[in-house]
Amino acid sequence: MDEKEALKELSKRIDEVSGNNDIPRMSNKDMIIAAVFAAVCLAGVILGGIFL
Amino acid sequence: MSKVRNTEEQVQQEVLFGTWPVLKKERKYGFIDALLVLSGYCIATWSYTQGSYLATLVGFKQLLIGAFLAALFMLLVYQLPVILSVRYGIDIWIWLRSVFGPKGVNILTIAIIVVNFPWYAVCCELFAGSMENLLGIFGITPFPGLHLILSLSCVILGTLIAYRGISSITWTTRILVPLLLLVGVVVVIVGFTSVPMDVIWNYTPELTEGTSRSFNYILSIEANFAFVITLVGGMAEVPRLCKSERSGYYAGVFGQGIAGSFFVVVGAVMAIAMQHVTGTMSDDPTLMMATLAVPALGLCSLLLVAFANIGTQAVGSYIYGVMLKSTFPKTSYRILILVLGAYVSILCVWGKIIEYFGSFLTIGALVYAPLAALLFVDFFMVRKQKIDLKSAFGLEGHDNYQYTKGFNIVGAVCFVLGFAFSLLIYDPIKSVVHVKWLFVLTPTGASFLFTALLYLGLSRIPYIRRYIRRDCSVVPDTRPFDRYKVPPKQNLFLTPLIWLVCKIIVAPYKLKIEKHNMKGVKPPFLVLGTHQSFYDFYVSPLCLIPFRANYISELEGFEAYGEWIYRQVGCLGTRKFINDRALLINIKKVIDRGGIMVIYPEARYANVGTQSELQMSVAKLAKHLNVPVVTLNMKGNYLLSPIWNLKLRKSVRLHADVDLALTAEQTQEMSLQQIHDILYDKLSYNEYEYQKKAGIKIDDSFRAEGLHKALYRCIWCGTDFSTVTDGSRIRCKKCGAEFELSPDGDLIRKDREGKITIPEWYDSIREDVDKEVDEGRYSLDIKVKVVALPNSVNFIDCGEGRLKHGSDGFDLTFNDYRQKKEITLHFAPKSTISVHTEYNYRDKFGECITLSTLDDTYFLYPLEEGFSATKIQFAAEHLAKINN
Repeated sequence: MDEKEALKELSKRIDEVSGNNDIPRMSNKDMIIAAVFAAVCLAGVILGGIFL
Repeated sequence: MSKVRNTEEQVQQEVLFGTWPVLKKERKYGFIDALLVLSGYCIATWSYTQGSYLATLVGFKQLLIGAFLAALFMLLVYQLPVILSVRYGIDIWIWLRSVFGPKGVNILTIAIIVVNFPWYAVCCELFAGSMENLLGIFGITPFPGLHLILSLSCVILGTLIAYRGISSITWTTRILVPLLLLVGVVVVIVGFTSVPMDVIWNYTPELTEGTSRSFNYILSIEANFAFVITLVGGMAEVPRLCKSERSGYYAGVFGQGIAGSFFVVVGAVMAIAMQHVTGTMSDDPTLMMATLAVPALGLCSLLLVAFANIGTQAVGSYIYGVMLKSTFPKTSYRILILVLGAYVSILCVWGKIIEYFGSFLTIGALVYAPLAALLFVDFFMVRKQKIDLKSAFGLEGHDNYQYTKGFNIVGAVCFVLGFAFSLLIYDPIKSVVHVKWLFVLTPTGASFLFTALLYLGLSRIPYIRRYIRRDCSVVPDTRPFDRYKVPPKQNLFLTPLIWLVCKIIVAPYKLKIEKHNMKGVKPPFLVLGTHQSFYDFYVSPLCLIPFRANYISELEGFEAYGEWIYRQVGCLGTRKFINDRALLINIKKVIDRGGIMVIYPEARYANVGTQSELQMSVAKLAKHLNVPVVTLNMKGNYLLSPIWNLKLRKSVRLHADVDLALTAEQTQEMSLQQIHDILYDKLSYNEYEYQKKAGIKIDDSFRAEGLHKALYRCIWCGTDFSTVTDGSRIRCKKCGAEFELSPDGDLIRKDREGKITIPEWYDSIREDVDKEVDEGRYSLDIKVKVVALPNSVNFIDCGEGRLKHGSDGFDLTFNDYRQKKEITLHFAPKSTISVHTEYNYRDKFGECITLSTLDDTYFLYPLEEGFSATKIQFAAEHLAKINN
């Protein structure tokens, strides 16, 4: 693949992934679960420091 | 020779294609696949070193909490941006080009390698230790220098494998991961069976001098943060191969947070068991197995660990060699591999990497913490999960991320300050805490928070936002401005500062304020001011001291200076020449709460220092509000900085008349016409008459430059767009008529007798345009560049459009970014009582007019000859007059 073809292919790929590429996204619910999970871990770290 | 070329080509392909966006159909990994790959990456022999290091700091229970919960917490936060890798199929280094610029990322790559590569020196040290143990089993006593020879041989063997290229690495990886898993299993079995469980469970280390339990606990949490955060560089390429964002994200979190941490805990168990049995703590799994297990098992394990260390060294050299190759594309891959090998060799010769394990871990984290913070804030808060990929890949014509010669200064400054901030808290070399209360957050955590807040704060400053969000035309914020948001009172604490700043700015021009009939006038009241230049906003607050006020401002001011500061100053945002009901509601709210509402009813700076029409709606507003009306007639502001050339004329003196034009009672008793006439009279001005009366001499050499934008038609031959200016002169390109702008403000004919004032010339052009319109000769049909301003955040480039103007009003055809299709907006003549004009917008974008809807202001820049903002304004005003 020469440089011109490579750039064309790259540009094509960029257009494809920039549009709606149907990759299942993290929903708001997923984000909230991650945030709660992180909060629980942080609480565990703090409590571990205080009580152990 | 061909083999060398083959390896170079393969690596070149890896560099080139390895960074390209991975398409959906090419994605290989579900959650389990990604979890296994990432787990494999995390479980190198250095996990044991980390485990034994933690065991020197805290007891087993706290160690468990740190290894799992602290690691998971950090991973849950800093792994979030990997969803961008999944979404776009790119690794984070591509995204980081938007944060640091392409050259900035190159430097960062080197920094990352410098701080990450000591991991591989740890592997070599472990290899040397294993080999010495092996010799010990055979009864051979190591001679001095053997350890160094063995560790260097690990470097050489690992480098040789990497040197051979991708096929050797593929085979090495296939062997390496099962080997490491096997070693792990053996260590777990031996560790947990060789000493009683309660020995491990109740283990607590002895405190060394100058430490405390809380200090050690924080240091252990720091080590866990650092351990997971420093692996991000090597793991950056996996999530882009995942099929869903959730799988990519949780694979990273659990790969490191569960699998990686498990092996850290195994290392700790081994170290504790060794201490229990031999009285000495060790991070060497081979030594433990040789000591705690049967010799045959120890021998096998020794070989496994030895090969695992060489394999890890080889894979690391390859990964970072490819990274370096993308930074230095002209340098041979093999040379780069040798350089990396030399770097690890130097660390091995130094021989203290294990001793300074905690220090190097923290230093690594100090680099990664600001990096992770910048990525997090940039992804979620600055770029809001969108990136201009074409600029990120540096495609021709897409240079949004080039910033300053390839470096994003803002990202670099935040990174350096974030790094320095953590050093202010803790010295990782000498293990000295400088700021105890911040040390509680851990150096990594504090640096992460500081960098995140710094970058977020800087990104809210409009000038900086425009610098770092050059891609906003590609991924813009399209939310319309909230017109109904209740305007806050001018910030009480900011008000004295506003007065001080205004006073300083106008000081050179000796502003004189005269107040008429203002005794006893207290808020609420309405202020109507003349509008000549930006200096109106400096003079107005000084005229209203000791009161604070609210001001109406065009949205572009919000975009230029930032919505927060504009609201604190007391501004109400709107668009020009539209019927904005929300604005009326907010004006009423300001008055009802006892405030002062300042309005500049002309809505546009005076083109040539003379008054514009005053709409009857202003009189209606005065009557509706039923409060005193104060006029603010400012003089000299136009002369100081005329719209057609904003350079300051230093000899100008400013004057302002503040006058109670109407009492509340008068607004109710008088007719609308009477109110209108009084206000019109109080707000009338002619800057050139003021200049003569005040004896102001403007002799700046540039004093006429730009004047042709307002006086676009030759007064002598009547040709449109034929005038040009230079220095103090304006002349016609067609007939040669030439005028000198005298220091008194008159235009003196150079090639013959005669003089004219600028307003006279301007009015004569207006009369000509009115005549053109009346006779049906006026029309405009021109290609324009359309740039929309929907909010206080960004402009949106809508590309080329077509603007038509005639007796039916304006028709603007363009690609609407909201509907994503071509539309035509019609503006009827009677609704466009005027248009906003700019002669050189923001001193760089050139001449334009704006047309507004409730949710967008469209800046229209000509792409063809025959465009005059002044002429369009004249025609629109006349068409509005004859249609109303």
